Amino acid sequence: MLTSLMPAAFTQAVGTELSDSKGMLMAVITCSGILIVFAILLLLIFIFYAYGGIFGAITSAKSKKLAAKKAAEAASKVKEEQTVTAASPEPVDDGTIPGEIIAVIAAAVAAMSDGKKYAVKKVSRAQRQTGSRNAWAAYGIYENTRPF
Amino acid sequence: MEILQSIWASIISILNDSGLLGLFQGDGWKNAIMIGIACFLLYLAIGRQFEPLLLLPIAFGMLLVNLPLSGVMDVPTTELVPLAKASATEIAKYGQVIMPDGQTYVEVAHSGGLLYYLYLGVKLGIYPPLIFLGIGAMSDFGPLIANPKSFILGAAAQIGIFFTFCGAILLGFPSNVAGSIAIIGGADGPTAIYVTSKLAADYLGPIAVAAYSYMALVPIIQPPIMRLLTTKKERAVVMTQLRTVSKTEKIMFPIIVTIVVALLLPSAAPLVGMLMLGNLMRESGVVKRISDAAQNELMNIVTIFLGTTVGATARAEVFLTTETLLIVGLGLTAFCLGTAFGVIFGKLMYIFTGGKVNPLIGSAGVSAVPMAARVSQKVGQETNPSNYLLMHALGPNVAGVIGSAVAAGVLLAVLGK
Repeated sequence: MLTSLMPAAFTQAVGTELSDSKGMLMAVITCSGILIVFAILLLLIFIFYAYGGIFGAITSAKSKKLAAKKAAEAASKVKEEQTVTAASPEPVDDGTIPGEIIAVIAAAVAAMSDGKKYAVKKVSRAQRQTGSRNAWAAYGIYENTRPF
Repeated sequence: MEILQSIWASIISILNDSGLLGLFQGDGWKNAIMIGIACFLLYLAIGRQFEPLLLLPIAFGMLLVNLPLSGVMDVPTTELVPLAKASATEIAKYGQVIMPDGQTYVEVAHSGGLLYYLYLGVKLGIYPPLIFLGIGAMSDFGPLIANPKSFILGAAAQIGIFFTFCGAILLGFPSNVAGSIAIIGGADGPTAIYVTSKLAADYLGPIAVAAYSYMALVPIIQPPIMRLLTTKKERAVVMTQLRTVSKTEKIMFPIIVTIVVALLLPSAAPLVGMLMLGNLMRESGVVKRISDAAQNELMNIVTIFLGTTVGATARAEVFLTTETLLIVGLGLTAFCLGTAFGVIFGKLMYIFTGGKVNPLIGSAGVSAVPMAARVSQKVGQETNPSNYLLMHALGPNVAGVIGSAVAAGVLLAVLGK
């Protein structure tokens, strides 16, 4: 399709190769070749930026909804627990970290404690710098790229 | 005594019919040189492990075809045998033909060599798109979707193709051959074979061998160019983490690319289409069996056929010419220019983004997946050992595959008429 849109000089240059217009042939093929490759790939950049933007917006809206729902659920759960056992100890976290994760953290602390007994009193999320990787992601990348 | 003479005569007859004598007759010395080259390539594949999956079958195909009288690439022929000389079986099998001279003949068919038939897959342009299917099924386009700017680097690395085209024309190659030589700069073996099989099938041997040799030598050719064109500060740039790409985005990517590229450049449809089909099979997750077959069994089978038959096109009379030396030289130029333009555009991106892009990822724009991306990673870590450029380099790397297929489409559209 693109080739049919090329200027007449283009087809002329290809056709006149036998009549020694090599310079014309080279210039036209080089310029139009580079132009077409860049045009198509730039079009793809444009499409995928727009596409990424749309998907980003949909995903962030979904994740916001999900986070709000989870927070509401957690808050109601904590309230229920407080009313049932008024004398229970202080919650270990702020309600956003699942119980299984706290159990895993407690087990990891116990495994590293050399026989001493520890009690996990508080678990809070550390603030992460924007753009930096979490420890697991960094370790995963390290493991995957080590052979290179 | 008579028995001894008969034995001696039969030994002499066997020797006369053997390929060994062929090495010492006429241009047999050229075959001997080609056998030496094939053995050297086998050493590179086995001893040095340079792209062994391809170099080994290519080298062995080259070895087979240059053994005199092996007949592995013989073209099927027919022979007119006078009726009187034909055997009853031949008459029954092939029938009789009356020629204009009034004589009756039997048209006896001789089948071609094994590799000739397998070579039809190259000649008809079947194997390269099938290889692309496997590559698509093995590729993760996530880094490219996360950072679409990478497409620019994939395009920049194709500039070398078009400059090399000019060089080949200036050296006196016809435009179709010049296009086939230039595509070596895309550092994509299947693309080079596909374009050459369509534009200049006679040059398939030297062009394919040059293309795969340079792909194997990526870790040796690229780093000096990358170091030459970048400063230490630029090489040390740590790029920010790529965003997570959703499954839906990954599924939509091959569909959109196929529609856009095939509509704008139909001649690139076989390569890009198969690449994207393979990727869609992988990302959709609903045809795991087919995706696994494309990545493993199909890819391996086609690699054997493609490698062996391409190697078998490197006959002494075609390969040992000054033209081959020029092709090898021009191929190297194309490859170096592709790398250089990729890095230069990487530098431009470094400038325009205020130092957020490491220019080393630009060299990965010359397909050669994933070798070129690994080279970017390795050179980056020389300056900053805690720098992980691999995922960032994979974006331009897979963009380079699409870019070289588009460049191939342009050459085919323009020169294939």
